[in-house]
Amino acid sequence: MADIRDLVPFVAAPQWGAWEPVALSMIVSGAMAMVAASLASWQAGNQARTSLCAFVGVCALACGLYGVSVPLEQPWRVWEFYARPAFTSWTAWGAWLAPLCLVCGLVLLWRTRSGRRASRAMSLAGLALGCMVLAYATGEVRACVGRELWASPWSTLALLAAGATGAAGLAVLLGPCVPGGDGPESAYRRKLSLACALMAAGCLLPALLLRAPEGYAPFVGPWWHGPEALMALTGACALAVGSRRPRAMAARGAAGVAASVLLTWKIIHMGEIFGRNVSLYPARLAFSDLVSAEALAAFAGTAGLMLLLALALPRLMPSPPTT
Amino acid sequence: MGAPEAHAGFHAAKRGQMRRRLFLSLCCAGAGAFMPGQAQAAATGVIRYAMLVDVRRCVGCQSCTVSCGVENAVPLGEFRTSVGEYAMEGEPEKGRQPALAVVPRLCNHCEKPACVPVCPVGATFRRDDGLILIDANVCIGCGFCVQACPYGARFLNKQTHTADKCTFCAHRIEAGLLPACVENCVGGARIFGDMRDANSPIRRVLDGYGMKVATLYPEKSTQPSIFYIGLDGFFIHAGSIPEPLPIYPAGRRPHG
Repeated sequence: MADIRDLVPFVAAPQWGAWEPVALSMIVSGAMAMVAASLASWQAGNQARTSLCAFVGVCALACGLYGVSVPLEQPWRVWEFYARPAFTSWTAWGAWLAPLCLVCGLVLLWRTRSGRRASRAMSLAGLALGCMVLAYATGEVRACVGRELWASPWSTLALLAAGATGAAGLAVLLGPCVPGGDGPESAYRRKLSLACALMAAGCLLPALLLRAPEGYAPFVGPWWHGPEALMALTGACALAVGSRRPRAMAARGAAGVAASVLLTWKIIHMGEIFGRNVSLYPARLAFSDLVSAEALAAFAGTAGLMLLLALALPRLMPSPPTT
Repeated sequence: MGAPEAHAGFHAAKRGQMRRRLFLSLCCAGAGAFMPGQAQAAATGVIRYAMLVDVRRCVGCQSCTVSCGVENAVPLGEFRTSVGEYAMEGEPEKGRQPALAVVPRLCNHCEKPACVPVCPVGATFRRDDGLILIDANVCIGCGFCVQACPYGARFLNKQTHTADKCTFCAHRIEAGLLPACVENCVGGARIFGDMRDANSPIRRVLDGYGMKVATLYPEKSTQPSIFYIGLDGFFIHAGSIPEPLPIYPAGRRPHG
């Protein structure tokens, strides 16, 4: 094909920044955690595991909802989601489903904290809401046909993988804060941390499968694989630190959360360049946005809210019964 | 047909159309008292606005870009319409000489728009006359429509804090005027009108060219209302990305 050069750089830079991928990562992680909490509750299993998963679900969903509200151009019009929802949009469904799922998680957490088992109906509701939030989060990305990568089926699989890894990572990180949990050095947390490190490394696979769509490949360069390189590095470090000490387990948890965010970053922020702007805003810039002021604010804001919730929630919940 | 003729034709067609519309409206209003459902159906879908861009007549002067920006108070650095300019290398083996190509772009006001269903609050909507508009009093500025549009025709307006795009100058159409870009096109490359009116300039040109008109990104199945004559095949598909220019005039550096 003949060489064709763009003489007038009219095409705009990507309009979404760092908040959206981080928020999406939290929402899919929260939904996965809620599915796990509901399954643990349904199987009449360990109350501690139900409590842990519900706690992670509540914290992650709250951070996700916060993250999607911050970058809105008109944040004071959030009530429009409820005043005039257009249910042709997955996002309109999400505005109802995600808060409902969060409330369901709070109820599950409250009951386990009170020493009571959640009813089957409650478990079923949690399971259904968790699945529906996953459907919403992946569906709203897939609906954006203007972004080739988002609309591909691989993006859905990658988002689900990011959700599972993020949920496992948050469970390891937040485990010691959970009311009625297993404790910071439990065997369950150790196993979970190993699984988390493996999942973090496993996120490499869906990230590698996310290829630049046809026609765009000449413009992405090696920076397209930047997130995978970081994932591999964090995964290897997390496996190397072992799991004997609580801090090492926390490092594995952090690697899981980082892998989840990086995978979502690749799909959402780096995938955003696939419109007409890919030649003017290449993968190198999209990847290096990870250290932009907005990205750092998004990471710090989300981590800050997560910490606040992890410290405040146990104090607001009823005390677990002593046996 | 020249641009002034096209414009005069548009206005004449518009006046005739208004009389027909008034007559039809009165008829429908009378019948509607007895058959409200049928009256509603008859009153909608009368007009279907569209634009034809004859690329052969576009000189790439950006007069449309500037006039649109002035008419609609578009923030500096954002564009509701623009004209992409491209340098195309020659292919001697195919007998093709090096050339400059221009591609005027704007919202395609699609029949099956990707932006409308993703709007969570219904702020983006499709009017009966085919215009895709944004209710700025409802838009929350989430940016999903910006991401969904395959044509990159939308942007988040940092002054109004809402999504923004070409409206076909809806305020001018209502006043019986042509969109600013059409009015100011020095080469008469843009022809605007009602597709369903057999006497409208756009319909006559479209009928004359038959299937030789092109739309952008047919693989997206959006059924655009912007038609092109003389567009190079390279630009028709979404995956055709031109190389950036290795050098830029001062103050026009690419991002980063």
